[in-house]
Amino acid sequence: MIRNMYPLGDFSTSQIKEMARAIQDAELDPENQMDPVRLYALRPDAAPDPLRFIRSIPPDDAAFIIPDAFAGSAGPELAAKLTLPQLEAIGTRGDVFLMAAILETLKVVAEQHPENQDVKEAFAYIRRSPAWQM
Amino acid sequence: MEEQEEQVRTPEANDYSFGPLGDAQGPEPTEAQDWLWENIEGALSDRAIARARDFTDLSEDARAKLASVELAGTIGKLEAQFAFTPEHTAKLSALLKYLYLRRFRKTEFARITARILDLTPEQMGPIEEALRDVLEASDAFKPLEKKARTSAIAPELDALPRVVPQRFSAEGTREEEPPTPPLEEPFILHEEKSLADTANETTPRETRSSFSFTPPETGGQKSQRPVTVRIETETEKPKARVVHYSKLRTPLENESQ
Repeated sequence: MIRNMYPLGDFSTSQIKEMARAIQDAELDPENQMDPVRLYALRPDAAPDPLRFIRSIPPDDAAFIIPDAFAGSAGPELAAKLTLPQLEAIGTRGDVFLMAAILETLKVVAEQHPENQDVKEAFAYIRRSPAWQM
Repeated sequence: MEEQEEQVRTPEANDYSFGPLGDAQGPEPTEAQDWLWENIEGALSDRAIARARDFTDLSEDARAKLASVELAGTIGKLEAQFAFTPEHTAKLSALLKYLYLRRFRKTEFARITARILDLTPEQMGPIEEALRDVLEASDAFKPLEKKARTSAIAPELDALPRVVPQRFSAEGTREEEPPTPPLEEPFILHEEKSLADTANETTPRETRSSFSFTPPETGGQKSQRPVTVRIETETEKPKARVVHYSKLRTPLENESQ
């Protein structure tokens, strides 16, 4: 299956949060402690404040977000928070599954909140960008 | 009653079983994740995935150009100028992508775009002018040109190059090592001709195939004569195989009794 090629892909949001807690565990050897930011950059849905965190991801790192981050009830809101430079980087990298995940979740937001300006701007860019045409 | 000390398990290096995930907890995707992936796989046809693969084969510069916000802005201006519907705008964007993916030539872009978007040649002029940079840049990403055919057979060698191992002395100067004495000859099941013997042959070596080829003359200069090709056929007729059923080596049961 295609989804298996994403590490951390099939883990649920709560599992990723548990992982983040585990690697920050104070009882761990300091050498084994890790900053969970790298984990959140791949799965921003597990970040403490996902909607705020996702906008802070550098565009080049945003191109590596795992599609599962946009699943669930929070997924559409998360997709709507992606900035144009992030969408540009995602289009440049060309991960078609990530792009499809973003499109599917943006459609949900567009149906529920047609007046959302972030979604309008994202859709306008996507239909005008040759890289985003599938 | 003795108090039992609470056994506290301490983590060790590389102990992946420690922690909330416990021992070998695998991924537990939610229904929402399954739903998302069903939609993703349903939205992407095999052709779309093939196009995506071709897109990732482009250079990063080409991909960045096609994904640039600047290009999207240019197409947005055309969208407003010609009152394109969102579907027409997406088609124009897709045609640019197909151009870079070598689905058609740059010279065909105007004709194909006019047909798909139902535009006149006069309308295509401003569109081509607005997209001139991206259209011209599509030529920069040509496929590799085929090299001229060269002989597949290496030129003849007069002598084999002798490789002398060198080493550096303590002063840093090079010293030529004396050749090492040959080792005891190993057992050779099949002795092959050396390259020197092969190279000094004046006649072409017989090969198993019935196709022979005369290598071109050495000297680095092109031979003015056309390459001669000689097809060899077998001169001897193959021996007919005859099987005698009357004189069997192994006697049958009836005969032995």
